[in-house]
Amino acid sequence: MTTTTGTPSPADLITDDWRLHGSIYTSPAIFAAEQEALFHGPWLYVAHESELREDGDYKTTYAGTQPVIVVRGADDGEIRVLLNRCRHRGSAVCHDERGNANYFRCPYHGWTYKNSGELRGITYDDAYPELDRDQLGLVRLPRVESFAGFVFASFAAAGPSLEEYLGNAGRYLRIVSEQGPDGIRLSAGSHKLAYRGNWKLQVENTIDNYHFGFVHRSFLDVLADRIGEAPPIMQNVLKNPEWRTIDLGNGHSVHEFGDPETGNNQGQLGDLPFNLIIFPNLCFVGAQLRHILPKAADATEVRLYPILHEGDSDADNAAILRAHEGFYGPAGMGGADDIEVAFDRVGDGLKAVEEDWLVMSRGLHREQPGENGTVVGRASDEVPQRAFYRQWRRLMAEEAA
Amino acid sequence: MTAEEILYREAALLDAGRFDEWLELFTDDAVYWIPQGEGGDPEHEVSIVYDDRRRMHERVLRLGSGFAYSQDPPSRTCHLVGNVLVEPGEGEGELRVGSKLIVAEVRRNAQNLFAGAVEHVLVPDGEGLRIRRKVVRLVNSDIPLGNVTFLI
Repeated sequence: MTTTTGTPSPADLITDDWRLHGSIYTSPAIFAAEQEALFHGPWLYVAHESELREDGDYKTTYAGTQPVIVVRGADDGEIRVLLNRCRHRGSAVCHDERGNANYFRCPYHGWTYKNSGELRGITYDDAYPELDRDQLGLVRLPRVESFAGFVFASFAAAGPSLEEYLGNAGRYLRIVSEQGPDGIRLSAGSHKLAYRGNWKLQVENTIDNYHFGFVHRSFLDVLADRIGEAPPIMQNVLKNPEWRTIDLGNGHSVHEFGDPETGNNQGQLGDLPFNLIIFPNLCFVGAQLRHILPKAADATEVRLYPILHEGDSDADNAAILRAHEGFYGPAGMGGADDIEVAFDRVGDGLKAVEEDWLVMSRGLHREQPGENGTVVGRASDEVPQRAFYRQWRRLMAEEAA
Repeated sequence: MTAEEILYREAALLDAGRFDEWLELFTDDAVYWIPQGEGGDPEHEVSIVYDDRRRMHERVLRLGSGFAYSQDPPSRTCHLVGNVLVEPGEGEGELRVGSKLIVAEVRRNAQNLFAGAVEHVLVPDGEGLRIRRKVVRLVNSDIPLGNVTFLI
């Protein structure tokens, strides 16, 4: 299981017949290796442009486990991603979730940075006769790019462009961005969830159609009570050939509810015509953008941002919020059951390690090649999960090599 | 019942898991709202709960379905209501009742504490009063939360 250096060998954690080793979800060493392989090089989602409309607007979030400030320059309007850490003694310089600022002033000793990151002022600076201030700005992620309004950043100075990285998934991100007549905005705040369990469990669960009739049986009962008949979701999952799962490459995947340009989700969980995973930790489901924040091997936070429609009425947008709250969030009638079963009880079960292998081969035999190198399966097949772990294994192996 | 007695009875019904009777305390046009964070405006901001009577009925239906895994086993709760302040409301016989609420909740070998300011709007109904609006402003509504599928 381990190399001579003590690091688990990724090639040994996923077998060719798609068994996964439980330590993928539980090992602190694997979690640390993921932060290098998955969250320190590839493009990471950090913001939507609607959160940073005005010069000086900022939000705080995380790039992997590292706290960052995403800020639109007060002088030039450029979006930058800065590590939220004073260069002097390490205090976070910004603690608000969002706001507008020309400067960030460290509360510890008063060092002050322009919102573009440059160190602007050191208090009582006669004590530093030789300090090179030009080298002591807030550390800036070297690359920031936007695609269809979604802002990503990378710790790697070189590598594929964001558009190349998104590849086949770009089309779907563009469809998300066109949900409203005049686009979309993330202006409704976010649900914040926390659970004791691995971050990848949330990724897998977001695009797992196999579980819906089991974990969400009580919600299906609620829907039946609401519409007076059994809802068609499970029939579609099991029988509808237009509901399909697709490995889009680079770890990204989608579950389409019919033609993504015109399909729908019965309007029960939200209006997006698909579930979408952008590797490693950005998801779209229902009517929400879901940003998964890894904290430790067994600790995760999740932020759910309802996607409002620019150009639609307040009443229509309020209806999006109400539909979202019915299923999602800490009191939602669906999402909380995922936390209970798919995360908490999985955590309970994974402590039994005598036979530590899981099965992720559902539908492997009926995967079909699609366009542009994609792999297509049926709605309840584990095609998206395998898409994720193909990329996971590739990046983890490169890191270990 | 007096306004205070309604609040105490509501707390007792929730702690006893008598959710159908709890629902009967509310008017047909009731709103049950738990804002998220500052919770300015439910038309523009996401809430933890923003239920009309239909959605409240659905919650109670779900809790009794036997398949609500996030409440299997169910939370054990203790609702403590205090600092009750009764003021006249806007309509004829309407009352606006402010209170503070502390809920201890135990589930899966862990105890969680929820607390906040509550506003009830009570309206006359025959000889008694019913709840037209309940707003719970939790002090922890802006931090990452786990499972809040029990009724606050």
